[in-house]
Amino acid sequence: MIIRNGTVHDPANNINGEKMDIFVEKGKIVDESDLKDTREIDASGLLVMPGGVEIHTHIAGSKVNIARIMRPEDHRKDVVKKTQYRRSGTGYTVPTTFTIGYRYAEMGYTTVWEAATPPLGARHSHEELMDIPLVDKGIFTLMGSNYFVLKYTEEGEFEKLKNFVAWLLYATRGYAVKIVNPGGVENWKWGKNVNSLDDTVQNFNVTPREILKNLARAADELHLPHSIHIHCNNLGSPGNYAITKETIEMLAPYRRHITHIQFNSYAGEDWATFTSGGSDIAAVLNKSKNVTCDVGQVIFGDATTMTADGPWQHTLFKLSGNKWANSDVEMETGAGIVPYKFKKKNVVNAIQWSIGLEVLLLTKDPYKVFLTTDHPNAGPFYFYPHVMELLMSKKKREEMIEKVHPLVKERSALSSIDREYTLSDIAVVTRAGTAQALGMTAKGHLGAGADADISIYNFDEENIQKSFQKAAYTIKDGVIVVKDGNVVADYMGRTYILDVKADLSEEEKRIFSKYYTVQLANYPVEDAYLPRKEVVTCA
Amino acid sequence: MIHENVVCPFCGCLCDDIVVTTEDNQITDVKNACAISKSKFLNHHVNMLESALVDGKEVSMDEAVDRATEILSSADNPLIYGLSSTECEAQRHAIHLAELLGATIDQTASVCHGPTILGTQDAGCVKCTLGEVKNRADLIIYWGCNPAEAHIRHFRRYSVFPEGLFRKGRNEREVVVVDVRATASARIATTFVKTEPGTDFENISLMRAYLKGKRDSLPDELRDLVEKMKTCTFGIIFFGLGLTMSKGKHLNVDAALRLVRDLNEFTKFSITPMRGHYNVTGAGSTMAWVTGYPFSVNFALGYPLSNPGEFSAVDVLARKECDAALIIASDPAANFPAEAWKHLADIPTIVMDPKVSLTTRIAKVSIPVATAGIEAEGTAYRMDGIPLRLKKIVQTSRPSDAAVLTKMIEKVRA
Amino acid sequence: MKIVLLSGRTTKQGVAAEIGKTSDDYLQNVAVIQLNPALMDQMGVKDGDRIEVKTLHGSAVVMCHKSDIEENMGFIPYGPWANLLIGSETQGTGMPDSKGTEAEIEKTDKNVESVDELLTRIVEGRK
Repeated sequence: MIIRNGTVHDPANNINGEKMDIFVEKGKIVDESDLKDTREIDASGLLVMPGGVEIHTHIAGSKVNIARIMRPEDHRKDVVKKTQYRRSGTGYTVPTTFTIGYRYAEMGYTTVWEAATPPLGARHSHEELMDIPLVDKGIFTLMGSNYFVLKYTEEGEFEKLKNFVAWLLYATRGYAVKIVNPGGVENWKWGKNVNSLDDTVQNFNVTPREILKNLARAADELHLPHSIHIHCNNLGSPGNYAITKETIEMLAPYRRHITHIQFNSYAGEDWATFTSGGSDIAAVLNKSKNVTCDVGQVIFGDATTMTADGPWQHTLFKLSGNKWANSDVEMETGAGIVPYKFKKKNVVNAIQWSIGLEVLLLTKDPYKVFLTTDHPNAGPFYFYPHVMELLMSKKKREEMIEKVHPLVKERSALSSIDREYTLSDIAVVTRAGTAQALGMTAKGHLGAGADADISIYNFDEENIQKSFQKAAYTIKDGVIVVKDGNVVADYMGRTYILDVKADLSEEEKRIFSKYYTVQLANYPVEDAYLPRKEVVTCA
Repeated sequence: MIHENVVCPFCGCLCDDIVVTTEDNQITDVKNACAISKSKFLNHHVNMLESALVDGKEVSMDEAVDRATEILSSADNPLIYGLSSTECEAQRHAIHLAELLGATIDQTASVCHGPTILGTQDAGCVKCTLGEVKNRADLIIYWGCNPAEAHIRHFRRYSVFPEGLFRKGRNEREVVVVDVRATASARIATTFVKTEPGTDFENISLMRAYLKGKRDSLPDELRDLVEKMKTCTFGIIFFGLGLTMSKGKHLNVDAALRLVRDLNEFTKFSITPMRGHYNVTGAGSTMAWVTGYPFSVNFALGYPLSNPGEFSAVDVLARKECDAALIIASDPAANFPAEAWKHLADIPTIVMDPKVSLTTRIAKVSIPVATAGIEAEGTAYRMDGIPLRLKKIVQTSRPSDAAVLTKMIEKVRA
Repeated sequence: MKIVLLSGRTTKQGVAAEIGKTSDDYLQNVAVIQLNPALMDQMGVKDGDRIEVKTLHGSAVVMCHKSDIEENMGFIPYGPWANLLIGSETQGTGMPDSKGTEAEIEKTDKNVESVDELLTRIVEGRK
């Protein structure tokens, strides 16, 4: 296939708006000399980018499905009819699996990562991924309050910890180490939390600082393609930018990714004095190495908050008065789910909205900061085009600032920022940067050897949001799956897993059989749940 | 041949430590299992549907599937019902078939924990996996359920008796049974609280009021109970159909869910429904991730709509709204009020089941299938949401539910 | 005699259902009502006698079993006999009133219907 004459933004290969042809053969990008399939797509006047790579979203598994079950009111306002190529489904903040695949692909996204899977529920996450069509996918495995992680951190048994991390990634068919409110999730099992990096976890003489350092080191020594993926302590609380800063700094020189950093970039002392800490966080990012983040940009309107951070969700339940689900998982982790609505005229919500944009705009290197909405925590993922527009247009930002609570002008630096993203910046924060942070070498670029995951847009500077909402073409492995914004093929993407292999010791097996309620033999996820697996080597 | 770590396909406990011995493809011994589980494994081949039937006549499998598909395709408003005693792939295909047909699809939760789902949709649900109970709980309350007869190994594996991380055994746990009669389960309880039938909503509401400082009019027994709940370290309520099937239904459950929410102001407290059929939780899961709704879904408009009371099987049948039915792994003629199921005899009903059932007796088409979890593999979700892989331990020439449904989908699409 | 009718699972019912619902085990273990001995004395019935249970929705003949249930209650295991006695009204929930129905019970000489007799009666009766 030849994609002829498009305006290509492939920043990873230093191609920034050049008119050129892209060649596709057997699902890969190739040099012209290797081309045999000479079908053409005329991309004259169109914008060509690598397929979008989502680094953090909640789309599959137990907490997502609890949210679906809990929120019929969410689905009724957003229904999706079946077509010849498309299964039916529902939205809005917690769309059904098929709808998730379609909506990502319609936006030009071709790779998505479920960011928080409880190990014991990994089979569930993978089973849902089987019903998410069109895109490549995989899961991150929750470890920050895992019994064995706490035990080995307490005992100073780093090698055992490392082996356990490898085993857990193997058993769950996970791709990265996810850490949520380290230690706090274990304490929540007694109705408590931790509030600093040096608080002690009940029954385990360990601190969040120690858990983080050990897991960061393990991920680096195991050469995992992605760094540890951290949801910091104190998420959601005024003044929490300090613990975020401390977390980033104390983890040097290890690689680390701070997720939905907006929720952890708050200054002020309480809700009354709530202020943006976005500029401070951007400053930390600017001077730190080996650190990446995604923002978790707030979208005004309905959201469904869902996270392993059980204690925070209990707080949010009390703050909002909305319904509340909690789901603690033996030996491993927990989860909480609370519906939420972000309101323009609510001062805290408005400042939260400004923070994501601040961090995106004030962080100089776009390879350090990525666009997410922590779907569906800060809003649904299919609002990305709206955020892209705000990033690319100061004028659009100013229009929005006029609509939100006026204190945003005082308590956030957003209105003073002049920077406007280029199309290549957009391509970095949604493709090249995320792929690089995830260690996905065949994603996020259009050089020879890359997967032929390509998005093509009819780009109109005056209508940026509309331009990115529906791709003219989304091409997955060389197959046109979306045309003119509509799904035109039924296609199954790959599930990415790692080539890690480790065994549990006899002692670990004994502990497992005593304190879990499933047999060890029934714990690892079988290949039956990986209809198209792609094994990544850790090196 | 000895098969270890077999997952039991009977109740929502989904015990996964069953040891099954087979000789010449016959199950000869079952270890670690409860009486009902043993009966299921050892008798799975007894009273089988011997052949595919159309109008009581033996036909080939292909003929039966053809006839079934014709019936469903030509119906204006077909009903698909069952799902809870088969594996998730079959469930996913059944939902797909319903979508293609524009059918109504419902699963057995509508007549067991459907009200629990309705309560959850209003209040949320503060729950945990069974291992959390084993490892941490010092107060275990069984409310309106009788695990001694329905979830026989629940006490031993998950709650009352096992050694956990922070609880050594029975003597470190207080066990309360709340019920309208002194069931076999009440015998293992530290305290049995007897209530009058149909009073759960008011009892629980009074307990909630007490927690909020309005302390009048709470009977002593319930006051003692709520004080225990407030002061324990880690409490759990397991509840059953005593709440969902009696007066108040979803309101009873809603009240209980809210009581547990309130208790988390004082201590750590969770609540978990005792799900009956081994994969009824999975049926709710698959329906939710494909349609957004865990039960009572209709596809007539080309997208899923859900409305219990409207699209729930008992109501659809009682109002005689469906003109054909496909029953998968369930027996409504035994489990529904006669007033409701008799409509199945008026319309062409298709049953997929390994065994002769009451519904196969009145069905137009019967399709014998492999028993999931014994003759076919797949996923099942435990009552607390943990997914496990069912095993195939006996070979059979019968197709699985998933295979039959796949054929139906192909034919409907052709 | 008026009672509050309860239904639920029993182990025997579960074991028998797995053998088969057309089996004699099933009939013996499911077509039964558990009653308090004092109530049985009042009614002049003993273990194994037949009882006719009537509600607004229908009637069923089942065998009487002694149990330590309260005097004003009767318990019938889930199954087709219990389902003759409950209605199909769900009050918009999907769930019929399966527990807590009021019932009238009396000693009877009528036979306990087999599954097939029961099915035939309902299916014929609808016409």
